[in-house]
Amino acid sequence: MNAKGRKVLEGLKVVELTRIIVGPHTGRMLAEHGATVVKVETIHHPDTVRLATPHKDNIGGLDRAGYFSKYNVNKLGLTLNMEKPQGIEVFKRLVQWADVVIESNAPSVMPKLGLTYEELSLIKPDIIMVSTNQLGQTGPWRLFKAYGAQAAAMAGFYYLTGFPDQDPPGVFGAYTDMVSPQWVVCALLTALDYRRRTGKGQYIDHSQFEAGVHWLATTVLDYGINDRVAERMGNRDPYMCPHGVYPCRGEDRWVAIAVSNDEQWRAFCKVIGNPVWTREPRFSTLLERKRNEDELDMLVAEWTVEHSPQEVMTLMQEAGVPAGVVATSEDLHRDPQLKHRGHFQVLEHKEMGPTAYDAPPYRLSKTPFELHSAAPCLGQHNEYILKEILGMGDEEIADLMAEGVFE
Amino acid sequence: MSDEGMLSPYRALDLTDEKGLLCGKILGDLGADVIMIEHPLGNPARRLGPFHHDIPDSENSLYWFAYDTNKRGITLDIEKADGRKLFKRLVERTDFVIESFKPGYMESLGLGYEELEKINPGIIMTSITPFGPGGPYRDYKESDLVLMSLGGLTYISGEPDRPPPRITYPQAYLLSGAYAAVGSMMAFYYRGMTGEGQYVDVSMQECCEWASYFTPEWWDMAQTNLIRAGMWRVFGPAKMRMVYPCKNGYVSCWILAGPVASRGQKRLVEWMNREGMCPDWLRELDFKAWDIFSLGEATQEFLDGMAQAFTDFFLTKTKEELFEFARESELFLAPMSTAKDLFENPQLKARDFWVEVQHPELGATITYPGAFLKSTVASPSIRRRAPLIGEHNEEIYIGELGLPKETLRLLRGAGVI
Repeated sequence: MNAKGRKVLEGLKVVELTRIIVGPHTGRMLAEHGATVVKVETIHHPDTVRLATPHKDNIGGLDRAGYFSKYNVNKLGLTLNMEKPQGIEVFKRLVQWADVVIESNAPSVMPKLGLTYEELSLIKPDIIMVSTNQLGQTGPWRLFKAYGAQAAAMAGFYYLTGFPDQDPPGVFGAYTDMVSPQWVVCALLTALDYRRRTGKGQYIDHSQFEAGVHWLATTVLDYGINDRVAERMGNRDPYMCPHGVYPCRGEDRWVAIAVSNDEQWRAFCKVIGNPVWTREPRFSTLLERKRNEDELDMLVAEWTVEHSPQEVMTLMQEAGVPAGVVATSEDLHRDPQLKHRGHFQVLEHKEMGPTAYDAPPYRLSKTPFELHSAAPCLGQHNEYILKEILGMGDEEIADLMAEGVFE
Repeated sequence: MSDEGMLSPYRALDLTDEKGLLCGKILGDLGADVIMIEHPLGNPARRLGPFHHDIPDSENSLYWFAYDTNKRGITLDIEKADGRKLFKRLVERTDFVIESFKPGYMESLGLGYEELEKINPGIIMTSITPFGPGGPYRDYKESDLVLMSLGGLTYISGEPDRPPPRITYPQAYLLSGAYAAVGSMMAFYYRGMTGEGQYVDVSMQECCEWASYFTPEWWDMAQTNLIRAGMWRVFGPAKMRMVYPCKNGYVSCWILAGPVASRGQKRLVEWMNREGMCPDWLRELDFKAWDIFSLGEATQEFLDGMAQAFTDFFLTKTKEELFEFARESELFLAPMSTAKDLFENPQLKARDFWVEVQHPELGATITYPGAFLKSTVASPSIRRRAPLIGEHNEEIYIGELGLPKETLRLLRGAGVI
């Protein structure tokens, strides 16, 4: 057995009936480590993110969407019309083949299609199935249709972002999508190990709203125990000062600085040239700086605005002060540390050409991940899946195609 | 359904501070026996508030309570020779070691992966570092704000006329802990099949970068920087308001094109009309005609007018009223919850989301978020509260390792334990 070349999830078979981020990212994390992931789509109702910007070179097209591309690398794409009974039959044949089913539809969908866990475990008794959606499979609000933005608002992230003197602007996008897939993957890997030991499958019901609450657990405990409702604080921190996002030279350029102790404060002052104001008693201790934080922030900004974000970060970090460029899209691609990590890997996409994909944020020493295939175009692997995976003959495929099953 | 979690046969040694606590919590909630190993003076994370009854004591940190559920706690100074020896004995019978010291620290103590692998070939060692074990930023100092900024989420957050804000409740450490759990479990699954452990290297910056959506894709595909638009979501040529104040707080409301959204939006407009708060032009709008996400030919002026009409109406209604309407009418609207709203949330209650956890040392029972998902075999659960400092020293050192009581006393006095 060649440990170096081996992938953790080599031979693992996954079927996805998912959209947008959470389901696809879950499948992507399995695909990164060698799982064969079949993503089932339909041309009649394409994944919303195939319609969203950014599009490659700003030219629209269902196969030109960066949003879709990001979360679907390494997967095989199948178009299947699940409105047709034959489509459902093909899906069930995939389940027979599969080890894991991931679905992220509203809770009414799988029952309507006759594809609940109960029904699928009749086909494949040890199947591991996960349903992930906004609010979970049960409860009075389960049928509420929501995007991740609504779940993120409901989970409390929106209220906690922004400056106290203005209405909360909301967190960018669907933040619960960013904090859900990890739990699901951990549970899936646990379930796979459990099945390896016992032969038993299981059903997992995941609510993205509940995941979000865990990421704000301390604020909930604080309310329950201390009756305190956490409020947004801009870029202030309870314990650090100066702490914030400061303007830099250039158009809409910013740097984050977080001075967390006296030693760093002294280093900070030295970096900015020990101006007279830094020796004033009202900035001499943490408590004093906290009392005069508005003024302090203005004075810091007067210095940072003369420098680029990279300059500030480099000077501060060399002196041992936490500081970081507030990175733009371009900055991420130019970041020398991300380059060192090989964070962006370029694959050739059938329609879009060379496309950059994020590497996973963790690296295994013996069984490295591999990004081997760009995200699928719609139905790109129909033939391979139907013939090689499901063993269908040409005639059967042609008949079903004529009935509109592979759309 | 079993009381024992699916990972109950397995053990983790958790040496993380606030940068990685969530990793061990996830493993513990799934059933693993997680032993938190703290410096004899206590884990630095215990300094983080808020605190129980606002008393800033190292046994009162709510951050500690939240992210150390299911962990037993021992004290150990691994910088001391006896400490390292005891640690190695613990490693013999563990499956995971999780740490968040600076790069090279464990190696410098002779406790790096290569050494631990000799003791236990199946060990899975997970190291969480700000930027990874090497590279130009290897020794850079971190903080939540610094990591979230270098990751890209900060830049796209907030209103364009203000500095971009972070999420006030820090996320970087939790993102790192969560992805560290994924990496650890990935290595664990490999070990299940082969008996071989391995080393898992987690870069906190990369974890934060993953939280920035398609920020990098905008540059790669279109040489454009994704920019912040605050309450406004940019859809192609136009921007539409997404966050609205209401009578008792705020709601998130997405006005979209397409048949699904148009139903709910039409009903909203009808409700506004019944209350005499709907302009004619809004009543006559055909939502179905819009292209999804590009908002068709609507001008900015038109969308601004619509946003104003909704704002005026929402200000007359509470979050609860609006959300009840949204549920009945299929409108993409949700309340922006505060911590109080979460506590009182009916969906969470109906899902048995909350668990009561005993804190006998405080004479209190505290309500915690419970299972992070539901499994037909064994849902994650809270079996015990976060440990007190050295709470399980006797149980582990004497009970398991067989140290005599006098030895424990000696090591305690010498600051090893």
